[in-house]
Amino acid sequence: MIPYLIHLFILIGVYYILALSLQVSMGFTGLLNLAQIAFFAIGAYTSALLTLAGVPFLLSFVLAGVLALISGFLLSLPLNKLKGDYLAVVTIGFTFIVYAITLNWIELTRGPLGIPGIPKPDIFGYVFNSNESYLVLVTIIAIVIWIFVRAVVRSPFGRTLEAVRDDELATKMLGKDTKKIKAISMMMAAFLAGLAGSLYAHYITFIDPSSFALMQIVPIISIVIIGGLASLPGTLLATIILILLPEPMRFIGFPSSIVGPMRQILYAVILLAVLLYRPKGFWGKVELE
Amino acid sequence: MLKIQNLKKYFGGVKAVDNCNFEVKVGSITALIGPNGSGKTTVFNIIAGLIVPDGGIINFKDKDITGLNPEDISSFGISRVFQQSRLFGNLTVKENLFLAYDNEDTSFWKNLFGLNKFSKEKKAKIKEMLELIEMEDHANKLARDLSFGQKRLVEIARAIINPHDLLMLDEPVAGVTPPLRRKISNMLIDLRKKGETVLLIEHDINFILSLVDWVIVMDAGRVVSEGTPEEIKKDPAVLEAYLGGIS
Repeated sequence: MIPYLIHLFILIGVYYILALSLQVSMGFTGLLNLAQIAFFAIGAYTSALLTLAGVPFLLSFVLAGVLALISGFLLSLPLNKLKGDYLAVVTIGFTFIVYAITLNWIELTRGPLGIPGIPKPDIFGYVFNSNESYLVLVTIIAIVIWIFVRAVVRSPFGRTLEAVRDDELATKMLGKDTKKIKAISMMMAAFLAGLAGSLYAHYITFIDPSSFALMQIVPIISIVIIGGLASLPGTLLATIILILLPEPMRFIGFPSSIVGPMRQILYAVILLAVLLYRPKGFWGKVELE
Repeated sequence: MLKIQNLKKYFGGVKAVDNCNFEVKVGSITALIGPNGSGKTTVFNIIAGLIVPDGGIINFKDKDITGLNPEDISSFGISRVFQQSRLFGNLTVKENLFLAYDNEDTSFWKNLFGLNKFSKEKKAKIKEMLELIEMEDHANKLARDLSFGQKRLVEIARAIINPHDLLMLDEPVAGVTPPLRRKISNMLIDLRKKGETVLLIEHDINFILSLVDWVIVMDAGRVVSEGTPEEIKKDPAVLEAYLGGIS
């Protein structure tokens, strides 16, 4: 039972980082960004391929974030012309492109066969082989990222993110370069998702394109909305609930082919209930319109 | 300070602004009046960079600012209040005001490492403004929870804090109570004493005539008359067409 719980808490740590990354762009800046899974994939593949090529884990981990950040920057270029639904469509398109690359660039990614044997993190000679040690690693990184995100969103810069979310035109009228603000938000979100992707890849030790399909964004968006837009503690609570809630289904005896879709249905039902009866989520600052 | 020359904006066949010319002098309060649909707000939107004109030139402090984007125009020194509330609803009153103070807050690293702390000067300015609009007790209230009149006051305060040489107010007293109207009027009188330049759109003629130095009358996208409030009051054509016979 304990190893199983440790496994769940590792997943909670990884998904909390991923959900925090979406909070930055969607919760705080109001960008309807559905590309987080693509950044997650970029981070996972970058880190996996680099460590398999002999690059030390720490460097691979940072480069996973940096490559995702560069992708976030490129995706931010059309941001000034695209808003709301249009931005959502473009970010979905980006997710499809990244998915297609992981599936079809066989020489690099091995396509649908995936990348097996991703090594466990090795930091200054210490290998995080056991799940207990990996939980410690994920927890420390999640705490550091939480401190970083909290510092950003509570700073005057964080206030400009929220100003863009509430009224971009009024923000421009105060002389602020909203294009730059949105680009930074997108890059920060991408960087954090890339780091989460790296942690995921080195924990599971095997990645393939199916882990990064568009539908994987559903639980992340559910966490952000249920926890509450622009709420960091709400995000943690929602991550814990949404990761743990579907687990009892395993003990009922459903086959794994049923558990997967059932989990998606459960997320959708919770999401609908929250949207109808508690539009601000647990501790959200912003009401969904 | 502001010179509008042959400004044009057509929406399809509608000539919203048609060869509009006027000037706003330094240290004056100038009112732009006219019936609904005469093009006043379109002119405001063009000056503020929200609409690109089809022709004409806007000179501000001897620089051509025609067609620049809103953030650049704001940086040149034009601060604007909209007709409808455009406060940041999920931020507090104080945060709304801090946002207007300067653009240091858009620097990511400087803010992350705490190098952009609120200086005493910044805090004092915000406190002074909150006292001026008598909203010290509402400083930490979310803007979305304010009443219509309170929103109006905060919005004007935010535009005043935003570094500027020209303040543009679109119907500052529309829909507000008489005491609030007096308060806004007194704020504008104080601004004039300080030598500020204000351009405003307003339908409340008594408010305009008691306050402004210069009145520009627009109709069908053109300036049809301009002068001091006394001259405008005596212009029979203006009275008939725009002031509804007020003498």
